This record gives sequence, structure tokens and C-alpha cells, in this order.
Amino acid sequence: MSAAGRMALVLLVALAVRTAAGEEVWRTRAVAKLYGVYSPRGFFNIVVRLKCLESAEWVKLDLKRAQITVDFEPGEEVSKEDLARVQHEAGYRPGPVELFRVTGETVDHSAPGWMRLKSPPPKKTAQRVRMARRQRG
Amino acid sequence: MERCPNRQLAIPGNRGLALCAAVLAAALSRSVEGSPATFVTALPVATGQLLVRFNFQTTFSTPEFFGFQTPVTIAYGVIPHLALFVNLNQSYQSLGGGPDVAPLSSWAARDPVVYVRYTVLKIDRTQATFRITPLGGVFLPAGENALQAQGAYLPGALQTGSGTVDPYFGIALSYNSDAFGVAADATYRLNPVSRAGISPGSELRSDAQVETRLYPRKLPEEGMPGLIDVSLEANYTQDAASFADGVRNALSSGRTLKQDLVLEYSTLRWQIGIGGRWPLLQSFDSPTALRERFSAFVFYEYYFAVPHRRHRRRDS
Repeated sequence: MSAAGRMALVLLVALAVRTAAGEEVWRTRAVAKLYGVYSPRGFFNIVVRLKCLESAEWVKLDLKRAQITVDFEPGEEVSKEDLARVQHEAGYRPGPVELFRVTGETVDHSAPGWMRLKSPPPKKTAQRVRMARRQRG
Repeated sequence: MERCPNRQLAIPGNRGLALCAAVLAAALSRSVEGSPATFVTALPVATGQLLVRFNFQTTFSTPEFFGFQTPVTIAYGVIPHLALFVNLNQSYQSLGGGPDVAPLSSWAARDPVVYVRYTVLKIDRTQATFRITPLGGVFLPAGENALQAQGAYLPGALQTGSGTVDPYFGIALSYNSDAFGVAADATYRLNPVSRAGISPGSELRSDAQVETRLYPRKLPEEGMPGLIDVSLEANYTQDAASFADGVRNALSSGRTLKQDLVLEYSTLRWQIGIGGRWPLLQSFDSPTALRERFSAFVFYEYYFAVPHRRHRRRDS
């Protein structure tokens, strides 16, 4: 992705986390140190369980640091126990978890390692339907 | 080419008679049956995760034996410590043949194995893990153990099953880190004697493996790169004497030690590998037992998250 494209994406994300009233919306960001995970397959074990966690939206996988960073849906609260349970159900001893609140421009999912846990929102489908109608008519 | 009464077996026509007689005189050894990539992993399968591994393995042996197998291994994580494994297998094998003689061959499903694996010990550290996992299950008699040609049984190398439900148990252990890994397993397949057909002897297997990362030598600061690993694996197999129609064949036991070299490329969702296998030791009681020369294999492994309902977090 070009620098201009990346910048546009950052701006879009920043806009998306603001409400209509102009107030900034926060997200919960969890950074979990993983124990026992040393390979891509091990990280996929973690991703499988994260997909089961409601409100987990983005995850960043860092093999060298053996660490995951999870961004949750705007306004959703999570606990350290939720992340510990994810690691336990993936078959690993839970590592330490830190929770932060992030807002606005700090939410950039275009960096290496980020992947979306949820399917794209239905907005895209609506756009496709609108485009198809335009082509027909 | 005429067909044997058993549809799974194709035999040559008139020229095959002499070959059949020669084959039936050979030892009923399973030495060149060639095992699929059945190294038992001790690494975890996440709860609700489905892992599917497709293998293709060829075997070249003397005299004039050729075969290939297409095992499919499916693993499912039941709970964090318990995983269910199913190994399905099909194989083709061909024996004999030459300028004037067509080969004997068979193509059929082999006995599938179903087993559970439980993690009794895990020591997880940053980028390293040590695990011990006993396992137990059964081989189911889906293959054929009474394939015949000209009214006599074919040798064990051309049979595709044991004819009985065979208990299967063992233990696997491993230490893996981001730089290297070592693993070992030992399994035992207890083959009861079947009333009819070729009943292979019980089998003891023991494998040891060491692997290291070839590329990238230095991991990037962020993200999840694809990894290329090289693996060196030794497989020891000890077969007890087999039986034919309940009668013990004293010269059918054997011991083999084979060496594998495997190159693997792994990503977050899949892994692909290619390898070769060379025999280091082939000790058989029968002087006419078939001996393996070389075996080559490729495999592809894919990971799924089975469909699920996203559950709400627990309140702390």
C-alpha cells in the first residue's frame, strides 16, 4: 500500500471512531504476552479462540515478541480474564495481559501483522446492491 | 489383464501365474508397506480447531516394488488438553513385473486409526514449550487382509489391512522453541490374529526428530513471516511375526530404521512440506523379504476454525 493510501486509511479509521456529535470514541486494546507459542501454527491456535470472543475485532500477531495485540469494538469493555481464557482454551499457559484505552489516530490497523477477526460489516453488501441497481437502471 | 474375484486387485493374465507362485513363496513381510507421515505431534490443538493434513507418499523398493499412499490426518481440539485424531489412508502397491511379466497390484483403503491424545504435562515459556502427551485408540478393519491371486494369499506388502480391530497406544513428547525443536514418540499397535487371511504381527514404532529454522534467520520486529524449516527424523519399526489363516510364519518378523529429511514452509493457516526417506537398517528374519530403497513424500496441512457462536465475555 502506498503512503498516500495508508494515510487515507488512517484518516478513515480516525473518522470512524468519532460519533456524530464529534466526541471521540475509545476502544479497548489488550496486549498479551504468550507463553509456549513459537510458530505460526501456535498463533493460529490463539486466533481460533479469539474469533470466539465477542467484540474482538482486530488482532496483531508478533512472532518475534511472542505477543498479540487485540483491538475490541468501540466502547466495549474486556477483562484480563477474558484474554487469559483465550490462551488457556488455545492450549497454552496464560501470559500477562495489559489493557489500554486507545482513541482516534492511535488506532491504525495498516501496520504489519494486523488482521481482522470479524467479517467486513454488511455495509459492503449494501454498497454492492446499490451499485447493481445503478447498473440495471 | 483379468480381474481377480476381489475387485481391489488387478493381476496379470497367463504370464502372471509364474509370478504369483514366486510371490507366494516370498516372506509375508510388511517391511515395505511404508508408513504414512504418522509422526505423532505433541503440540496443542486449540479447542474448536480443525486441522487437516493431506499427504502423498511414494515408496520404491527392491525387487520391483512400487507403492504410494495418500493418508489424510484430521485433528480436532475437544478441550484444551484433549484432541481427537483420525487418520484415513488409501494406498496403491505394485509388485513384480518386467519385460515379459505384468505386475501384481492392489489399490484400496487401508485401516483407518482413531485416537485421542491428552496432554499430561506442559511447561510453557516465552517462545518455547515442553509437552508430554499419551495417546490411545484403535485401528479399524477397513482394509483387506485376504487379497488373493490364483487361490493363494498375496504377500503382506500387497494386503491393505489387518482384518481385526487393533488397539493402538503410545506417548509423544516434544520441546520446541523459535530456534529449534526436538520431539520423540513411541507407539504400539497390537494386532490380534485373524481367523482368515494374512494377520500382520504387532508393531512397535519409535520416532525421534530434530528441526531448525532455515529462513528467516532473523525474525522481523513485527508481524508474522512465513517460515522455512528443515527437519531430520529417524523412524524405528519392529514388526512381530505375522500369521496366515491363524498359522504363525516364523520368518516374518523384522526391524527397520529409516531416516527422513523434510523441508517445510509454514504460514499462519497452512504448511507445506517435501521430504525423502532412506533406510539405515533393514533386518529381517526372512532372506527373501522385500527391502526398501527410497521413499519420497509431500504433504499439505491446513487449519480451520470450525463454525462457532461468538460468546460474550465473562464479567470479571
